[in-house]
Amino acid sequence: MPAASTAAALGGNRSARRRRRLTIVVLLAPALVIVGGALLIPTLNLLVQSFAQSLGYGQIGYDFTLSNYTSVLTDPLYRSLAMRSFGLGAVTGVACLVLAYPVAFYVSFRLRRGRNLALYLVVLSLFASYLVRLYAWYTVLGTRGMINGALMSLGIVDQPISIILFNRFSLFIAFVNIFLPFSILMLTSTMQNIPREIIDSAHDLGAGPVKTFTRVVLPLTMTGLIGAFAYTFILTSGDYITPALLGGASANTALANTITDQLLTQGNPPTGAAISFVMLVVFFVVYYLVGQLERFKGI
Amino acid sequence: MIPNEPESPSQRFTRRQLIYQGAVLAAALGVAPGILAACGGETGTTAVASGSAAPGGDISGTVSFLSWQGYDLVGVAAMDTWCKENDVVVKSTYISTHADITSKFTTGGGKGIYNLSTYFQGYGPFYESLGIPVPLDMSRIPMFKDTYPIFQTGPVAEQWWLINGNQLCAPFTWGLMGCNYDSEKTKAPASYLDLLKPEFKGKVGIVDDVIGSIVIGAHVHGIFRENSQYTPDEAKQIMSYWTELKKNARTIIPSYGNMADQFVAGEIIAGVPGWAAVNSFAAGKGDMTVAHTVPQEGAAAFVDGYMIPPEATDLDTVYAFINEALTPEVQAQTAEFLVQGAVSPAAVPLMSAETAALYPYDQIDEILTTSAPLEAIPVSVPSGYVSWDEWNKIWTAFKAS
Repeated sequence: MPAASTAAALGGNRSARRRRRLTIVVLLAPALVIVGGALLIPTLNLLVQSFAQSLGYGQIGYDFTLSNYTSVLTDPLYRSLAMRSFGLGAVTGVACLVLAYPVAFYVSFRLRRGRNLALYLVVLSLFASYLVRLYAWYTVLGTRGMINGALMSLGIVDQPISIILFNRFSLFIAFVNIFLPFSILMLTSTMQNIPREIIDSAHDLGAGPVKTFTRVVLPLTMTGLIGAFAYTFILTSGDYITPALLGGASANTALANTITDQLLTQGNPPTGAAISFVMLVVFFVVYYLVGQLERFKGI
Repeated sequence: MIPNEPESPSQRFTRRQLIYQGAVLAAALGVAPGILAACGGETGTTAVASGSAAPGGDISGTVSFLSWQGYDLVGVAAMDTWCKENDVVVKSTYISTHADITSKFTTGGGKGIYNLSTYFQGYGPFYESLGIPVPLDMSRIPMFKDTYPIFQTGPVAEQWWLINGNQLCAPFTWGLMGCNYDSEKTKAPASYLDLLKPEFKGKVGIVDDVIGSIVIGAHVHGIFRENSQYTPDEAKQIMSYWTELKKNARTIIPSYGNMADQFVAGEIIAGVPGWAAVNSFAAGKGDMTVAHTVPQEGAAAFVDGYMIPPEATDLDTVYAFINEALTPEVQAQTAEFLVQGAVSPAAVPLMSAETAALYPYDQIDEILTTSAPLEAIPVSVPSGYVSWDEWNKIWTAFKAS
């Protein structure tokens, strides 16, 4: 090939690459602007505030201090609330996995007809807004709710029972209700990606159902388990609306509620920001630790 | 969470939320027209916000408003009409906490941008010390002379908005927060202590309202102070009432709108701190039996007023807006719109019977001086007294217990 032709070809390639890069940049720009403007910049602002000083109601002094973090980490009240929030998040996460796994397994491996219908039904439960679903629990668990109505109609109780609403139990039920569909979808998605040949091979090699499950299916679904647990754990631990609406007199305050209290009631953004970042670090640590389970090779 | 008796920051937030079904921070950017010089550039407390145009001149212009949604009176028919007829444009930025006002006018970002804001009376002395409100030229708000006398002169006015002879805001609405109850299931509690009786076991709702709770707890023990300065021992006394009441509590309620829901659902038969507006919220959901009372110990109250912040422009427009907000017709419609009290006696006959019945207008002096005296937000207290941060921590610990 003559040198001139080679140079022209190279120039054309470069030009094509430039156009491709430009196209990519143009396509990504809106997302980058939105993520940068609506997530990164506010987060950085919050990070800066977490090292600033509260000068009284709504006033901030930008002198560097670690006092917000030390007070959050050493205060027994915050520690107690953290235990409550992360504990509830962990229990809800595990409960969702335990309940979601059999459903996802059945849908993925046993259900032949109606698989899509089953998944639609799972998705259907997400169509109602978060708040509507929380308020719906009033009509199920409340004094005049469905359960009390049924129990009284059947003559099982004379008076409405009050212990099923406004406590940790109702919080747990609501969280599971909210996050179970997500867990099912994540696990189903993971299971459907398992090649059937692998399972058949396990059987061909003499593995029974239990061994096939513990040595083949379970390790291959670990990614979905980790994702579903982390998703539920983080969103449950960070929720402040559900405890406020359903927690009653004893479980209405979680760690996330103290953030809103600091920002909206107390007028102390630096402490609110410090609590936020402590929670963020805990989430990263938990996610990292749970992520180590990906190395799991079977029981 | 939310506004407080008078109006703790959080309470204020929730009130707005429940009134307007979801307090969303509107992003309306009230960028005031440029740097139109001279009018009101002074920020000191001795400079009066006065413009150059003569009263009665052209009032068209822009009201750049920063405060709670609803307080810009957008949606109040008479005010909307007035704005349209006078070519007045209202550009609003809504807050989610009273601290937003403080920060906007202390750390910058608000001066010269907004020309109208509001404050809850409890912030009066604090804001005066920060130099936030520019003293008003009351000759340009003639309708203020037709408000109840208690809003114009006397010790109440001098404590909260007529400070050191300077009129720092023009009150335009007020409210009362005692105890709500289901009149079909119980008689009006004569005392907050009645709620500790066995018949209220599991039937009381406590609103997550720091300020309202401090005020009512202090009233219960007879140690209420208008400056909200309490020693740690007094704070324990105040909280002892709430600790006892919590034993009878069905739930801690996140907002006054949610309190109405709990009445309607039959979960509670009494709610405290209460708010007269809850009656309306419950009635709107079909429950006509919720009532409000001021028990013998007293109640919390709040007064909100329009203030002009430093470096405000378009002052002719702003003064005309404030003046119009105090006319009887606008006041009556505002009372209906906000479910709060009017400051103009001439507005009362123009209200619906239900709205007029929400607040005891014929006893307004006695209410705001004796039964439900106004109080300060304890954002700045001398050493030896419980600070605002400490109060919030005490309240959080109470909720979490």
